[in-house]
Amino acid sequence: MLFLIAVLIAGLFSWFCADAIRKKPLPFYLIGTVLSVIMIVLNQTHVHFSPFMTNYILGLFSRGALAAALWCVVAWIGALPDEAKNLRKKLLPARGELSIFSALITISHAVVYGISYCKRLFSGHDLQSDFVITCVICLILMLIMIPLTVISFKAIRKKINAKTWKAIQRTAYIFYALIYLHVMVILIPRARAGREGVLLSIILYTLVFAGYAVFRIRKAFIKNKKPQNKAVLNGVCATVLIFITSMIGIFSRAVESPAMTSEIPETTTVPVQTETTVMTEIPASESESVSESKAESETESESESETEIQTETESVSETSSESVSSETQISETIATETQSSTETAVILTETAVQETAPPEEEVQTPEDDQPVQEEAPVQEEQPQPEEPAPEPEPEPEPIDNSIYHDGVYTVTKFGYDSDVTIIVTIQNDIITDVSASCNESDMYYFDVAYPVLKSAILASQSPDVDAVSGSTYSSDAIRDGVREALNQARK
Amino acid sequence: MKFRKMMILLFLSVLLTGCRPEKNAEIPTEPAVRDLFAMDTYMNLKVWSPDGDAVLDQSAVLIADLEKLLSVTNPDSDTSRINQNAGNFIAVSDHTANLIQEAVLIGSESHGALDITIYPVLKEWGFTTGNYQIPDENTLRNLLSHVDYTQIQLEENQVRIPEEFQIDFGSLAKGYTSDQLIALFRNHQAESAIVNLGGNVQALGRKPDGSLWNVGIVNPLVPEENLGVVRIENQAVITSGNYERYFIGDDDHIYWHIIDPKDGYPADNGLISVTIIGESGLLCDALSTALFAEGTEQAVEHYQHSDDFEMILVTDDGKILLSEGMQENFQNLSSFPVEVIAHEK
Repeated sequence: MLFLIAVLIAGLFSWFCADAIRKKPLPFYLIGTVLSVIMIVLNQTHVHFSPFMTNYILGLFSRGALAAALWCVVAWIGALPDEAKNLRKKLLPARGELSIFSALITISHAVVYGISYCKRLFSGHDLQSDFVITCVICLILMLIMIPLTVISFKAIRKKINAKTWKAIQRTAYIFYALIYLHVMVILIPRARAGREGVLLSIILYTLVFAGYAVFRIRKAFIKNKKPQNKAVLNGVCATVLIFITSMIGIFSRAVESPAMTSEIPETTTVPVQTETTVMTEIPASESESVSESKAESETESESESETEIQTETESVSETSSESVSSETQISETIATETQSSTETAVILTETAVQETAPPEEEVQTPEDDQPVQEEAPVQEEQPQPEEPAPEPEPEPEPIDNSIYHDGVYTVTKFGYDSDVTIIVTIQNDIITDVSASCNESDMYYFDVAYPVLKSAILASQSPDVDAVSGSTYSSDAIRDGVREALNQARK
Repeated sequence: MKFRKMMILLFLSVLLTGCRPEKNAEIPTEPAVRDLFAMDTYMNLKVWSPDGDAVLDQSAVLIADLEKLLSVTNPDSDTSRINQNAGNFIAVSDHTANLIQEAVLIGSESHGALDITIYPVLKEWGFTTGNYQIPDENTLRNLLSHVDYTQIQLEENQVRIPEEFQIDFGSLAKGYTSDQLIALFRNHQAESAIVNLGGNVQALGRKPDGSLWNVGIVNPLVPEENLGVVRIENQAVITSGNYERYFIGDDDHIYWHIIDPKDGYPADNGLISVTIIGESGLLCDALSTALFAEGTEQAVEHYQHSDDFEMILVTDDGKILLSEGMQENFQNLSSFPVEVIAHEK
């Protein structure tokens, strides 16, 4: 939602201020810097604002939504098709100035998060791989943004050879791709944890960024090959865009089964893969004009299948005739299907322990099939909605009478002066992971309160000790969050 | 080739699953495990029992029942009824009567360092609600005149406390609960189990492989790290530390939740962490609080005159005092020097 607002603001700003910023850039740079500084100061002073203010005004800057939206505008200006003459004419000349303005707005986001990330990084606690990945991405982003911004100033630009300048500016593509990756690394785990509204954000970001990639490549293709029939090309572009968006959408759907509550590293690798497919798929599909229409029809049905899968799993789990369902699943050998059947296996074990053995074995077969099967479809470009679903780990045995639903639970509690979000992963009745995050203003309090409970909870799985004696006392918000997560998970 | 490998895998998996039911009749190789939230804390239960999850279900019920009975915030609990009817005799459950009897006994053994009537003082400091404040001297003096465990009257299952007195079992309830859990596990033919109720650890038997349990002890100065590891069997390991619930006052002084019943202020008698190891969870829980309040010298003396527990104390000048019975089974992971305390001959 925030991003939608940000895109609107950024778009309107660019449209109405393009001429002004081109003619008189300095006042705009000043405004950008001052805005950034104000936002940083407001964030650091721990003043308590209304939720609307923190979420929509401060958040627009400190959470980087506006920065991302501005960068999208800057990127899109370069990808605008020749047909959009008026837009191009108005915006293209102001692109350099807009990008400098964007960089200045980005500073507020970078500084606010930079401070809290550094604290967390140097405290040495809770250095999960997703956090480290985020840090690395952010560092690279800054390393690209700063020099590119510097050489965007007209005075400096003039001193550099035009060809060299253009070549250096090409790193901007990496920059855009990394922004998208950065956003996904953060959003996908939250979406999978079932947080409201995150899926919409993911789809929005994907539409904007993948749309950019598609249009940029389309433009380059037209320039180089000068194709006769643009209709086919447009069809391909639309197909690819819908395909990518629905893939990401399906992939980041909220999940409840244990296998899907995958560790964050897994989820982070997938956006990278889909990103590369954007690049490779277009030349591939354009040569095979026949497969396009097929792909198109399939992707269409796919965007609908998102809801279908859910209803399917439900209906499967309801059927008590376990032998029939598992047989049909073998012939279909689709990842989510097998997962839904593992669910049925678990449900069935509750009622009759002895009956479970046969279906459970059968379920394992298609799971074993997976790696073999997956090698092929990736190249075949057959959009299987289930493809990105992470491999279910072969479970040693189903737990008979678990009292909690496995899954990732997200609870938001009011902390010292703002909301603290606690994400608890439950598997086989134990908490396998707990992580917590909070709005910027709570950061200090949070750094102190969070590690104690986390280490206490995870001590029960430590290889070195069987338990740890000593208090698990933590902040009320985090403790209550864990309690509520367990309540939510209760069957 | 791949097909053959898969067939072998399939065959093996059939074999393995086929084996399981026979093993189930005895002690399983994998424990039944569960995390719970109760008594205002996070709990982890792990038990190797032929009854598996059924034991855990009963454990959860047991914990919930005890919480309902003992919680000072539940208006229908025995504790609340005793407090609301101060001045009158009130009929209570066996559990509550047991606890009061033990609490009074340990109270006298520790010369009043453990006092379950300290609750009004704890409340005044805000340790029960989180609304911390430093009470003024007069208030404290007034409240302390209503703190005296010897005034509790227990006749069979009838309890009476004097008017304006209040009790709570915060320093005993978890230890008592872990005792009850271990007893429940025994009834279900479990030979190995370990429970952690908010940092109170208690084990049944040894690990299934016959080795001793390794229990870490929180380093009071760096709570995310372990001070050391103790190896135990059939014992509880319960730690009280000044790092648990504390607040920093306007005077920049740190105030923690273990109150010295003598003056109503946080006990600051030379110790920052007390770990008690013994067969009774209840005793360990009570003593960890009592010895903390007693302070270094009295705690050592208390140990030297007892034979039912072992201890690991951490002093505020950075020393570990280790009782002689733990010498063999304590591994120091900290940089603190260790001094061994022997029983009096």
